[in-house]
Amino acid sequence: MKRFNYQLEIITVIVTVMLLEGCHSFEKKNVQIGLIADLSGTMATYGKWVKEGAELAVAEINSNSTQKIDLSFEDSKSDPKSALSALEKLYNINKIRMIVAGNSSSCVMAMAPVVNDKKILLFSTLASSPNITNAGEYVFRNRISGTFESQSMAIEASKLGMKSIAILATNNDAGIPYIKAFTDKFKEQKGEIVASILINPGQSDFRSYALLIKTLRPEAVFLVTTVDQAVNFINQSITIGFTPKWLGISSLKTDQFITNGGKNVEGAIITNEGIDQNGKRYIEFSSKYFKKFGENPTIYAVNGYDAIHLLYESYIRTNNIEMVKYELLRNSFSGAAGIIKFDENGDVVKDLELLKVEGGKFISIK
Amino acid sequence: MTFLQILINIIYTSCIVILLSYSFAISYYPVKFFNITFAAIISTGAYLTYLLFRQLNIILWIAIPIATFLSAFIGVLFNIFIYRPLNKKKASSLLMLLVSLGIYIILQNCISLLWGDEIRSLQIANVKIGHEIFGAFITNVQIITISVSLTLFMLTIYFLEYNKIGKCIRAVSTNKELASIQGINSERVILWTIGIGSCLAAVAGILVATENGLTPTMGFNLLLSGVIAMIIGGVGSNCGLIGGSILLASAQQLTAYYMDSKWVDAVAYLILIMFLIWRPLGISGKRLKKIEI
Amino acid sequence: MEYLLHLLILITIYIMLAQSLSLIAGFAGMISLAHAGFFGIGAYTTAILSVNYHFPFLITLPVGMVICGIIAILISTIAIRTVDDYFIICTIGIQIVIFSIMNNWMSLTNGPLGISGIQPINIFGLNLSNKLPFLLLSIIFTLAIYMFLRFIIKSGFGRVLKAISEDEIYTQSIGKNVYLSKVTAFAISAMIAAIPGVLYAHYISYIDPTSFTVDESIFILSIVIIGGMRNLMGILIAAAFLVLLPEALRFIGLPNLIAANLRQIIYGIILIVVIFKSDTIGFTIVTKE
Repeated sequence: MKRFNYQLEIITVIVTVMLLEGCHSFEKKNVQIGLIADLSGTMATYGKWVKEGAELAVAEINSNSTQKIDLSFEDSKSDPKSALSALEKLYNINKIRMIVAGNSSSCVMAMAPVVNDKKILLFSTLASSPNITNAGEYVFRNRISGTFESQSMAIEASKLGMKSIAILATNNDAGIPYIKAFTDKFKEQKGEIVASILINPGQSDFRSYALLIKTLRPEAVFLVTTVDQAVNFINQSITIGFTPKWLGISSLKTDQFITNGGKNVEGAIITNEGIDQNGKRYIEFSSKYFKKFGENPTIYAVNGYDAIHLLYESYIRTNNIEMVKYELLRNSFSGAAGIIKFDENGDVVKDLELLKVEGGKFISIK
Repeated sequence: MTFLQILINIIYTSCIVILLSYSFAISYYPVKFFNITFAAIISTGAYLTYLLFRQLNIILWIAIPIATFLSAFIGVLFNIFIYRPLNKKKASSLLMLLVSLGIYIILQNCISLLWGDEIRSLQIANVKIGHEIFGAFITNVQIITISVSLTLFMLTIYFLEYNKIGKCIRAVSTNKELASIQGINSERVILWTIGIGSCLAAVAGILVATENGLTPTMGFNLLLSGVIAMIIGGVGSNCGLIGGSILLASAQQLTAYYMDSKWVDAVAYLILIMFLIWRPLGISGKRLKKIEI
Repeated sequence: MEYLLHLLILITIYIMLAQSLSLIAGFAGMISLAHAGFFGIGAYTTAILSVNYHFPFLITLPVGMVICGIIAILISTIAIRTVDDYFIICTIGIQIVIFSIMNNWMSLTNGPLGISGIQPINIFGLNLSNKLPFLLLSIIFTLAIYMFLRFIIKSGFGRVLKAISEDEIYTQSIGKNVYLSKVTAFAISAMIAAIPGVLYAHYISYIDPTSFTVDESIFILSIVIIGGMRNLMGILIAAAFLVLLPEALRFIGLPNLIAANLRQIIYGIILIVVIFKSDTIGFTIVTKE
């Protein structure tokens, strides 16, 4: 066994450390909240936003109130198995029973059975899949469901007088739910879907798709993709002389969309979760966020920020996880996103608004 | 008009793939292991250009060569300090592959640390409609990319054919032992191949970045397409390499246009598998001992 | 220590996967990157059968294995015509096609949304929803697979496989059926890979295609490479090492801003150092003079 000496030694060290940590009793004076987010891997950008929003909330709480908060980060690496390991670690080692999740719906779905079994509160800030709605009584989220978002977009699009639309969506849990909801609703409004194209996560060459959609001559293209893919698609379409109206979902409301898209994204219309952009909380939050991280907050940062505040406030009032659950279901809260309420499935109830890119800014239109 | 546009797309994509697969192939022949570090070199080149051009405001035509040489330097450093000692220990090629995977993880995360995971833009000019040729469009960047990759490809082949170092590289690639008997320092030659390969890979990364922007993980898929093109072409042949690249690019672009979009990957790879079964040794069909059963 | 039990279960699953890959990659010299695909086929078979038709574990397990075996035979009769690097590329292609089917055949696999609500294993009235009994079950399977593979390797068939990986032409010339042996080995390996798939689906209770990508195949191959291509005991240690290492890094306190990336960097460094320090000379397969 000589050749495995080093590996064996390392394994022994690892297991010892884990056992020691497990026996180590934590000081539990502070409110314990965990954050499991995709901080590396394909979804890293999104996880980072949630984390930054959460960090800001924690800093705020810890400087303002006597009852402080301990936030423990774990990386789920955009992988369901890793998310589950992180959850087991936070629950068993750090004894945390309130967790904010900043990862894709497949990670949330993998964690959901354990969470319901062990009565841990899981607060998803990022996943838009309709799966989450029925993921269990201990799973909450303040990202609106993709179904709702795409239905609203379909109605708004037909109000804007659009008759034919092509859909470009990522072929994963973040893209698929939008297609059917949008298609059904738009057909109801007597519109026509000329094509729905599925792209791979991580793909960046869309020239053939742009060409294909160009030959079908839709009035608009609905982009259900990440920011980089949306910008690449728009740029590559423009180089072959294809300039329809661009529609998008709220994941596009980022500074990168404007800076990388430049003039080409002018006039693009996207949905946005009903954030009261003129609300006092939001203005305060966004200026603080801008000062700390140098960019305007995305919807995910807002959700991460609100999630921490919600859990903290409910926990302070009740001091009991079960009660926090009822508190979340019963009450409405005011956060950076405005008034936040949850339905009986733990899904957030929010309005949607439309934003239009004008002069390098997102302008609200009604 | 549509057909012409697809043709332009295929030419553009295959030129990038040619450059990628050649950059990989040139160092694959002498060392004979899949060096995944190249995936990181591709993104390093692009990010260094971004650093010099966008963040330090150095003129693009100076920034690109500096970035290219710096990435080549990184590639060579890794070779000296990691692959060379491993090679001395007679590590198997699979173990070397795993080490290169480790280096890729390290470099990719360093890039994430320094520049973040979000997409960065390296557009040289404003994106606008390209030049029209019979109803199809081609942009300046595409023309530059096609000409740069073909020029570099030709230059490297010329270098390998007529330069003394180039000849040494070919000798070592064909037969290491025999080359050593002739007094060629194979270690130094391998460094040359890594250097040249890294330069080409970095240029390819920069060219792609000017069109598609930069992300830390951009290199992996690019490298994969380069490796596949090389293997389909048949190891050890320049013409096969061009053929492999064109086949791969056509399979991708044509299936994307004509197939249901969600089956594009599956169909593109099925075509490649079918091709490999029809010609198990790639386009060039260089003989391997094993297959002659 | 539920956390440790969870990790042990993951380790046993990867041991099974890596050992089954070792049969073809180590002994028969066919480096396959399609193993996560077979892992996934096993998991999906169980998920579909148990969620839609409420089949018990003892039925879904053999069904999953048989389906994996049939698909492996179909694939390998074609793929085995290629050798060495070409075989690797071929298996990457197969892996991508299998992933594509899982991701896009909405009516069967529910596509990217995955299948949730897979019931825990229930054998003869024993409910294995807790981690400890589940771990015992997967250890039993791991041991069984280990014994089975040892048996195969020691048998005449195993010697033929070793001979093939050394010299195909010679093996052919002494009258062994190289082609048939390779197909058989491939099928057996795929069937064994279905077992951890079935266990995994019941354990996590939710599966989606992203768990069965090329990355996963590369990870399984890494275990085999670090463990030593033909070393079943080594694979055991390597699996424990590669699963535990990223988890152990969670315990290193690092500044929040850079923690995630820094952990990955440390992971990479330790991986390289371990390969350097252990005297694994390894087993050359891809390149042969």
